[in-house]
Amino acid sequence: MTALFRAEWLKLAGNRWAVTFLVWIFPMSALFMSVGAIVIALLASAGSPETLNDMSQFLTNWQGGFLSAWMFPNSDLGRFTLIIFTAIVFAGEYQHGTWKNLITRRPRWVIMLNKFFTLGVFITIAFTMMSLFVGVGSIVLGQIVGHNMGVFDANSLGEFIRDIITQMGLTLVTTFIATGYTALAAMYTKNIIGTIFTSLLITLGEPSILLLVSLGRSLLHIDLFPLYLLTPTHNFGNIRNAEMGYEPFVPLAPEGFVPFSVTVSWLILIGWIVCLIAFSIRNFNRQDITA
Amino acid sequence: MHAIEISDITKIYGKGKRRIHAVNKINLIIEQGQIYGLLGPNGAGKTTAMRMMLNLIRPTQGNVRIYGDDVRQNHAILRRVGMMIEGASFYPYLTGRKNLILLARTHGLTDMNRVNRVLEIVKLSDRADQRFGTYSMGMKQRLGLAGALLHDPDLLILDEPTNGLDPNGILEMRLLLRDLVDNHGKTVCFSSHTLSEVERLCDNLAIIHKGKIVREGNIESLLTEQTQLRIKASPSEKASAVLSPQWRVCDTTTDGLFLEATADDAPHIARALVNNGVDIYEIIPHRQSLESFFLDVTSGDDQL
Repeated sequence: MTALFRAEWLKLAGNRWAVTFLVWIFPMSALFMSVGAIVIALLASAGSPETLNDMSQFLTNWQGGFLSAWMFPNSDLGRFTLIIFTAIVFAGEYQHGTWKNLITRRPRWVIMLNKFFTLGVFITIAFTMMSLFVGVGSIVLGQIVGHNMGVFDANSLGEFIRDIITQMGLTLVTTFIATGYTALAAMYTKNIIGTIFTSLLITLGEPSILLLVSLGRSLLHIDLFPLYLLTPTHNFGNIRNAEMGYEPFVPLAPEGFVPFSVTVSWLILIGWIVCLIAFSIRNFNRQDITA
Repeated sequence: MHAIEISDITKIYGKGKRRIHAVNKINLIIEQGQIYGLLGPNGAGKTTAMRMMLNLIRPTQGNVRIYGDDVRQNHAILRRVGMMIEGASFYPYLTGRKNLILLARTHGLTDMNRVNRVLEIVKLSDRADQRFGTYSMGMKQRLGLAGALLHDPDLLILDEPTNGLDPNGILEMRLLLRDLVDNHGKTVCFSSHTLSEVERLCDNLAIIHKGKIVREGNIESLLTEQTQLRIKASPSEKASAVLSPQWRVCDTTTDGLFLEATADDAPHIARALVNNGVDIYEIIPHRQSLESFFLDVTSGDDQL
């Protein structure tokens, strides 16, 4: 299995344009921005206290930098770039006609599972680097501008570890769900552009199920709200709200509605990943490879 | 044990009126240690049949056994097979060498010297560190063959392997395949629509037309089976009229009359012509070329 992982890694890392502009650009940008901010702060510390004060306002506590990097993949831009990257990874095999080289050497399910796994590791490494660059950069910057970065003790460290695991988990869960959509889209469209459009449509259009809920209620008197509760969008929001300590906000919720617990939402999201991967493998196993 | 045993495989695409039999109940046995050619016009079903051999396409019906194992039940049997189907396909952004390393890792090979070895075999060592996307058609085919040979397979399934190769490349490919079979005990199944290539290289062949096998066997015996007699006689129109009820007249040219008949038929033919007042100048057995044989068996639907 290690050899197979290394093969997939070689393929991902070897696609330099795609990997540079769709993945490494984030940790690299974080590094440049952190170093740039530190240099500006060092220059400003010689005689521009206003600049230091302005910079200080962008800083929170020492944990903030590390956590913020992991939120990026869940932004629209983050999802957009990751969908393009995963589309290249899956649909590229159809476009280059390379599936036949792989699936005659290993069972299809092994190849497909390995792709999901390698992508997960790749993205984890990229955003861990980004998190380190932003986090360490923020701490150094805080020292230079004289910002109070909060207490660093066992309590705050424990809280930080819990928060970063949650944030990493959310990022990986949403990334895997988007990857599952992309893998399926690739199987049907068999080209990169088609896969990107289809995956974007599904991923970014998923919240529009609320519109269906609303139309169902007003026009057909059917309540589709329970379906909305099973969507990744709802459960992702549910977990994030709970983590942030916000009041649960569920659009179109009926009177007396009790939201899912965080655990249930996690289970639903994990269920989505398992189903999408299983469905991808099933479809791939039955697919005729004609390219 | 047979290298490949194909039983009744059929592949149907589409439904209703748009239903197409890409491959229609093909049965085939390919013994070990030979070069077997699949010959057929474009769209005959050669590539579809090969894809089913490799479990890339699911047959609508029938099954394929490689070294006795059903390819759909036991995927591991495909690890004994090297293949190149519809040209060499690799990642254009990786070098030739990295593409082979990737395949070696996918296969689970640990000896990376094998990559250098196959690059030497296909004479691509000096260009191995260039990106695949920059390769010429011939270089791509060579890399495809290197990929097929990488894990030293017992059986090679090659679809149009000489496409894009220059005459030297074609000769080298022919010698290499012959060497693999004669000196290393490998089995090669390859498809082509280049008749001369098949005639020079194959021990046995099957001609596929419209998804069916229309002829199969050893080339020599197939061509002998279709022996013709060339007859120079005068008047030729009368000769044709006398003989045509009993023998098929294939062609009438200035060189004479071509009849589908064996040498044993010659005395009967001579007697018939003389009895009908036709003068005979020559009766010569004429061995049909693979080209005319191929055209004969693939023209019209009567052979199907």
